[in-house]
Amino acid sequence: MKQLDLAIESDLANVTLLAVAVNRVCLELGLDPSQAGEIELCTAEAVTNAIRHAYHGKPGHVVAVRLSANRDNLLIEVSDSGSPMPLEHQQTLFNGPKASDAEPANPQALPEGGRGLHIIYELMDNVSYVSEEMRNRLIMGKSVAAAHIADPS
Amino acid sequence: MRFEERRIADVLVAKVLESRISADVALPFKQALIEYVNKGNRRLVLDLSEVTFIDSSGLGALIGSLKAIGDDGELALCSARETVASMFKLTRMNKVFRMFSNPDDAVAAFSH
Repeated sequence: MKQLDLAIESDLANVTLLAVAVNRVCLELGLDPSQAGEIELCTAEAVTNAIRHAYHGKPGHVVAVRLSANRDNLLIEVSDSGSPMPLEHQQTLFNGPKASDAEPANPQALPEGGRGLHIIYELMDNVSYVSEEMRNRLIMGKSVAAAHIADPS
Repeated sequence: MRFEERRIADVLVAKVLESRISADVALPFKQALIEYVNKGNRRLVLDLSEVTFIDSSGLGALIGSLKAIGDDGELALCSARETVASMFKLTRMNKVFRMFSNPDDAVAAFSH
């Protein structure tokens, strides 16, 4: 098991640095650029959510990302010590968006936000969320066995 | 946000000169697009060829722009790279936005 801990202050200006670092680490671990891009995106979404919702957009707090990898799986844990995610949002994370949200029949009725969790649901193989002892942890898992098989090394 | 602007007939083609449309720039991005329309550019094509990353906040900014423009103008997108186009498909926003492979096709579509 290989593991890396990264952390940023809760400012949206820091998210890109973190996301780009995660992408590069994924490439180093043998993922193909497409998978690395998906994990970068999901990490950016989860960290942005933590800043916006757990910390209500306020700077001065820590968002931590732990990346763990073994031969077949990659886990990305995004944690904060802010407000827990509302149950309704957790439902999107585990079950995808409601059918009414997914079909954009009328552009004027489309919400501007709320797609981050939908994206994580679609791109990750498994997701869990734990809120305990003043700490919220969103854990996203991706099977990367195929990438390793494709890697001759 | 930086854009490169050029005009083809009565259409303003604005190329996004940033590689990432992410949460930290979503608001100024949206404001810039609405400003184009408020200045009288009723037909706007956004060239995404330089964009390598867009997140849900960036998509939200585009949706917000589309809604704000409403009947006052038209917005089309062009030249999205595969990674960006896949984000639109994943969130079904490819059904909301008119997307073209190059600026000329987008401009031509406005005249029909």
